[in-house]
Amino acid sequence: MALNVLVVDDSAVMRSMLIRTLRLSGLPLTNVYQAGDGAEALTLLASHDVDLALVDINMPVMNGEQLIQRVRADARLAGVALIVVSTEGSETRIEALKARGASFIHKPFTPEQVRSTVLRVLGVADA
Amino acid sequence: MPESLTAPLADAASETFESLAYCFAEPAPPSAVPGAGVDGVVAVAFEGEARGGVVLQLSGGVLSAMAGNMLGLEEPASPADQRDALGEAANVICGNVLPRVAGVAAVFALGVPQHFPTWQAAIETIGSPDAHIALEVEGGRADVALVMRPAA
Amino acid sequence: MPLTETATDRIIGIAEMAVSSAGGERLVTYALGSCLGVCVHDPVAGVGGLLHVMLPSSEIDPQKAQRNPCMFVDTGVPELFRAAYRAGAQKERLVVKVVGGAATADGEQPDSFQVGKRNVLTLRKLLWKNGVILRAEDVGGQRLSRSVFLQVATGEVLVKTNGRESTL
Repeated sequence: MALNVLVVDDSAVMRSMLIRTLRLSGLPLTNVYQAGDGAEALTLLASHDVDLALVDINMPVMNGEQLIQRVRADARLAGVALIVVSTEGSETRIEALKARGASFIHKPFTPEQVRSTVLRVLGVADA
Repeated sequence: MPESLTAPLADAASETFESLAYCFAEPAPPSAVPGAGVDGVVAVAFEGEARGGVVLQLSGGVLSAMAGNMLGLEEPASPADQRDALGEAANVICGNVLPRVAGVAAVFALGVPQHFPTWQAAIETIGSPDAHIALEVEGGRADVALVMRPAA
Repeated sequence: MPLTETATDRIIGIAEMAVSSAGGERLVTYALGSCLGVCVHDPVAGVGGLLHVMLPSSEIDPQKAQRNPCMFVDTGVPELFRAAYRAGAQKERLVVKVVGGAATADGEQPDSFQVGKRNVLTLRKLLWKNGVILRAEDVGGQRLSRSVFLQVATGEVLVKTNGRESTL
């Protein structure tokens, strides 16, 4: 199983934290891509195969909700699993994101929470 | 300062420093916001069912440790990463204090972190605090203010 | 295996650790309050280790840490890992679990030093910086006394907490 992951957050430090966690999780990572906003993410998705995207909500240019709307409206991206990683505390917004098929990791998170959510979303057994 | 804002602000800030940055945080003795030895000042504005912002100042060298912890480094993080880490900490504190004070049904939009040269400059831009807490964090200090006004 | 002491149990006391590759052995430590029980297991090498550690940082007494690194999280946990490696474990295969770190406060006496919380935080930071993610944890809570039983053959960790038993 090869895995291509996209991490979308306007904070480079947050992207580094998530990528480090993914690398330590024992996943068969092939490529890890990064984007600083939703528009950059869409450009990457148009030209690279991505299996899983971790997406922040509050970003400039194009936020995470807009990105997820665009991804879910594009049949070519139907296979991209989505996990929102955000401080978002509004139950209404969280449920709306989940209704679009996204899972949710709340910031601040532990590496263990990220690992277990990613394994669950990908359907990988926790050995 | 309304107690109803102070305790949630302290909880959100402590949780952020501990869970995100592995920095133990405990209440600091009451004193004026430091003007010297400041590592950085950042604010995150919000609007929605209320408007305002969170202002965060780190002093006493804690920012270097915090950023290094977040990145899993033994050596100090770069100045650019420290600045980024400060902004992200403010973002997480802001995102976590709002449901605590306004409830989980409330919807807010958070702005991007804005960096300021001084605490005073941040307060002049964001507004006079409705709550302010100070924490001792890893030998340094965090000052966190919450500005909360009725929606425009 | 029932949670009663058996002939194959090796008891680890406070500020002690043990590493074993004896398949029939069980590593046991009792009465974890604010202390941490850190368990490591390599399922391929069949190596298990258990550390019962008291305090977060050796900075408060470096000389004591020299004499007994198992007293402090920041010296004891690296010692546990090194001992596991000497026994044949490999870092990328190690399964790490932690138990303990409870607050000691009750309604009348505050947990002023928050040793349990500091122990957990120090461990998390150490593991993150050293590229290790916990596989399971049973930490925190108020006035809990936990006992840990690590089966060396299987890596199974049983926890007994105030009379209740669970598998971690």
